[in-house]
Amino acid sequence: MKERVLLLVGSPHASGASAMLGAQLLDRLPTDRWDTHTLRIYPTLSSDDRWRDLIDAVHGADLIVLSAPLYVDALPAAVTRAFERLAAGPAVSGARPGQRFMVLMNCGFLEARQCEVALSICNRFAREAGLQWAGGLSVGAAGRMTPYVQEALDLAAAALDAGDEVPSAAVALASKPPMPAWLYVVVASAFMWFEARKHGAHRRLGARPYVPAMGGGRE
Amino acid sequence: MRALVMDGCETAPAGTTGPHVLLRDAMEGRGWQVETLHLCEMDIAPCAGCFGCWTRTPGECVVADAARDVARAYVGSELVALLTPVRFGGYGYHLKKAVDRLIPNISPLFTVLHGEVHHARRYLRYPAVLGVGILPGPDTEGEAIFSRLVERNAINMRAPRHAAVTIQTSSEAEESLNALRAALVRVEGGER
Repeated sequence: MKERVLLLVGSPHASGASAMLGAQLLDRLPTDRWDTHTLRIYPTLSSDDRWRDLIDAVHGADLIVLSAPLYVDALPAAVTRAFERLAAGPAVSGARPGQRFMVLMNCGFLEARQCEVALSICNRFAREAGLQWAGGLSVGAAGRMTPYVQEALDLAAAALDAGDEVPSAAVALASKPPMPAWLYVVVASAFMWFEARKHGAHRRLGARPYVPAMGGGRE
Repeated sequence: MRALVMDGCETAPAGTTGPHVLLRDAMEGRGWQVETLHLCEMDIAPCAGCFGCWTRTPGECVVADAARDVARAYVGSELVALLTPVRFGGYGYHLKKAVDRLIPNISPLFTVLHGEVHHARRYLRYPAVLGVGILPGPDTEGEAIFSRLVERNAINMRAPRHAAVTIQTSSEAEESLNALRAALVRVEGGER
């Protein structure tokens, strides 16, 4: 009988870095041993039906993979809400022994280590929800799919398939920065500038609309 | 001295007791003029991750809900207290939702800070940050994660000073008040 893996995408974007990284991991699990299923967390916040679907999927999964972006040093609020509801609801009492939980974080900074707090929160959630922690990978540079990240996903998938935790070698590979910090600052800032130019806002990037709230322009 | 309390508790305050009252008393006792926003009562959508606040209407979220008021009040304060139940070491939903929507207050451009890549500052001045976590009982790991999260937020939100404290719902009010006062002294940079 095949094992079931559930990918929970914790990004508001259906086809962003979180969905892509999660799909890449699932693609590496042998299809003769794994059935895969993907759900987005955001839509479940506003629909009871979708939340029930998520609960059912979580309950039926042998391995749950969360793939999420870093929002202000932690998980996005929507994922926080899902964690709160899962830990408080029947999914906890319904958790089966051996159900595993693995996390893939990505962040818009160069350094994957900036996801460290988010991973600690995930680890803690897993224990409170009665899930077995299967490890976490963090990817910097906006989830850029470098050869290092691909190799890290290979190692992680092999470990998960074998029932093991994500190995430290995969963690190290995934967190390798693809470029020096100064170059990332230039490239990522240029990306933002060009995005703003598409909307005619590039000359206002440094706008300070709330200066009046600061007491008569104390800046 | 203007201070903002971002109250991320699950329910609207009732009566004259509770963590937000203790916090307000502690802050006012140290001379702060306190504005409290009860986030669970406010219309704040989760961040859509569209970057519109950086690349379409720089400095202001494209979604016209109460998160704009929170972001404005944030930069208009000299001290911001983040009050929240501690969830898995992190912030609860209501506070996290509001914090995620504070990113218009920083620049979309990047810089290197403390040896790491971070967003550049938008404003010249930002408030100090005090994280106040509410726990049902002793929880060393939860406190450590919470402190680390407040520290990371302080870096990214360019807070000149920060401190984190946890209070337990099982504690006596006086004990919690003393812990809050001590944390305020730390975030103020010492006794005045």
